[in-house]
Amino acid sequence: MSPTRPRSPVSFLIILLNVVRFAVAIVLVVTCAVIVLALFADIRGLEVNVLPPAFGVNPEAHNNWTLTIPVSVSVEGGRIAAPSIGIERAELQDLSGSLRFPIQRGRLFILNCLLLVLVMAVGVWLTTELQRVLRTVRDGKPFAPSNAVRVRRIAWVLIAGEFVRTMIVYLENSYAAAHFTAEGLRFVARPDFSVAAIVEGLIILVIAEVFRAGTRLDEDQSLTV
Amino acid sequence: MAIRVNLDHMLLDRRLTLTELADRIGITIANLSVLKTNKARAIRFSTLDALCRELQCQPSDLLEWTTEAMDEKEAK
Repeated sequence: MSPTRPRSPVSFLIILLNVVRFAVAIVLVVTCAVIVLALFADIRGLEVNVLPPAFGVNPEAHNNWTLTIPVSVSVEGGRIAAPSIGIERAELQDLSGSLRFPIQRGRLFILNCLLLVLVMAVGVWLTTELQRVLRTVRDGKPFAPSNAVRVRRIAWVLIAGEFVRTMIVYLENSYAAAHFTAEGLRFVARPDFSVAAIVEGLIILVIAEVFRAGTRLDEDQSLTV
Repeated sequence: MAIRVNLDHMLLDRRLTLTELADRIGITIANLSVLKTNKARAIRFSTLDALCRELQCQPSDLLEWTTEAMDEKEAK
């Protein structure tokens, strides 16, 4: 199989993945630095009183740092209607969004940082694996034996990632429900499971099987004299 | 694989080298070597035809079915 042209979509994707991987790696390093900072400084509102002035951090300039967590809410009270089309009563259901609040030092913050590190580490790994697959496609060897393994690994990570994401969202929903109150709103914990993500993972598993079959055919073809 | 290719015996009998045979039948030495060392998964009729023509033999002289599975080490 001949290599693809330099300006093909594959080459473009390889460059794009390089940029994404670089950006994620930078954020990963910054997050790790914030975690280390959080271990030594009082980050309630990021008032870094413990740090000596030599660090050059101005507490006033940084006291608006916030943490955002996913939340689900149900609306209490309030009437929704559409008189123009004859609907007297309607309900808002399954509302979800993000809740942003000033950073508080504690387990939630550290846990969120660690999750962010984990997600970004997986992101770096995923982009690296995808890049390796794309490089073989660019070089005209899409059925390299390692590709089937790589694609299968990516699929399993995506499937497992969806379960982990659901669990994390549920836990953060529970945290918001236990600690936050709002007028007319009630924070609830709701599992936000995406069947579509699992189906995507399964489709990628099928593609991995296609790669495996392709590898076998390619091997047969190369050993046919 | 239980099909053995007796190309080395045929070459020895006819005092031919792999390179000479490869030149005569127009396939690469690498491919012919794959055949000789029993690594091949399949053989094209065109290759078999060219081999039989140059070696003046029948396909059955080149290919031999053995009951025992080919030793992996031998294939490599």
